[in-house]
Amino acid sequence: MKESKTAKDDEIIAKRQFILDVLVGFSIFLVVAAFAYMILNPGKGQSDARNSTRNADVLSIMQSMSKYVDATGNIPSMIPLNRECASIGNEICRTGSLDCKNYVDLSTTLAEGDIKSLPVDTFRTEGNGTGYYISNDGEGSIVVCAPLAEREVTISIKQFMY
Amino acid sequence: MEDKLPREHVDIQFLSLCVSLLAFLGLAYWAGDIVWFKDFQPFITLISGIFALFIGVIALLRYYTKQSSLNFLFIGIGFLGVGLLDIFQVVLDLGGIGNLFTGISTQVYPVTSVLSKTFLSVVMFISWLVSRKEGKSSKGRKKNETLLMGLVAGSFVLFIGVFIFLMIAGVVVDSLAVIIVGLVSLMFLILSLLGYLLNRGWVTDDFNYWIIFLISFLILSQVFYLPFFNLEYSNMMNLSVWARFFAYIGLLIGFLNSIYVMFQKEVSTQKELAKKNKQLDETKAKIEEAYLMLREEKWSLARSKGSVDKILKDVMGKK
Repeated sequence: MKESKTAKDDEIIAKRQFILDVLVGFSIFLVVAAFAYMILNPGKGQSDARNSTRNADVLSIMQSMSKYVDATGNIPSMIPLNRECASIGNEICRTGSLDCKNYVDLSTTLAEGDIKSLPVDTFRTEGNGTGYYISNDGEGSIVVCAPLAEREVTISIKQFMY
Repeated sequence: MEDKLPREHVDIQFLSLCVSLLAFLGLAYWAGDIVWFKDFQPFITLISGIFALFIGVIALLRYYTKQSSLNFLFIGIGFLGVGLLDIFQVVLDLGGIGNLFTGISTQVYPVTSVLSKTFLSVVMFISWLVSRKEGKSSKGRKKNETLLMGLVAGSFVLFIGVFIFLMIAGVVVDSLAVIIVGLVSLMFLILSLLGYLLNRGWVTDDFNYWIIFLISFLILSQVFYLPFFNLEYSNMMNLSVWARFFAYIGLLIGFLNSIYVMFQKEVSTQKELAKKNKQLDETKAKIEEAYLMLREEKWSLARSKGSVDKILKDVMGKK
């Protein structure tokens, strides 16, 4: 009876040992795979691509504003006076949106610029905002920024208008 | 011959090493989203420096109290040097401890930091070489070791050679000299890791496992420092510091564990001694009892035969 119990114990120990061996082997494989993934890091490539689009969008909004100021001689009155670009109430409203309350409605200024429709950030899937913010710093400059930029990248352009 | 550690214990140790490495890589991947993570960089460098000093002192103490292994001497000297260099660099960078959480390092690759990494990797390699000479590896195993290490070293030399060629050819690459020195450090670390893995000291001694833990995280730190991963540069510098910090914590745990094991051995030796003394006392008591019984039996026998007076007369007559 005792002998059979010992044999059973040995079997359990051997089984546990086998599982542990497999786990060690698998975890070593995972570490190597993680190293390879970090070297390639395709996620970063996608984020970088999205950030490039954001940069281009911010630039095109700023160019549009610049053309408007050149044509009218004034900074659009709807751009809020605020030194901090990424603040509540500074988000630009989507083109064609019915409700632009609490957003900056730039639809009237677009006619002067090259863009017919305002760009929308990839991550801004809901609501009437574009994900891009705009402000007038009160010293003759307009600031356009993209606070949804990924991987801690700051995307912001400040341009003196007068 | 030293006792082997249970295989299950060794397996769990290596499993935990792999899990820690994976967890750290996971942290590295997502650390870019944690804004406060970078604020701790000088503080962690300072703490790492203090830990390195601790490790250095403990290793030297271990060497002087039990001068059994020279590799403790090298680990001690290495960590003392690295600790001093790291602390010096932090103070120099920040212009005083007061700026610990607000100051930003102005140098991308400070010379002392590069030096301390190289110094530590060389010292780790020497410590392995010394332990190898003290060890009793078979000739065949030593030959295999040398072959594998030669292969690794050869590929690194080739790689470094390409960089030196680029340098001579005038190709402008940022911090090329640092990359070359960094590669040399990485080579020594990988060779030390291979050495410690192949000499199989971890089969009998827990401390060897903690050295492997230290070297693994130092390699990770070096990989982040060079930097080989496709992550944000500033993040990688920060993560390199954190990997070093975990490496030092690992070795400190190793030292504590080795002190605990030594203490436990001492306790079990004392217990064994006490048990043997008790057995000796019991045996002595049994012998005395047997002797007394024998004497008693003899006297009663002599008395019954009436020979006591005769014995007494014999004794008196001899006198």
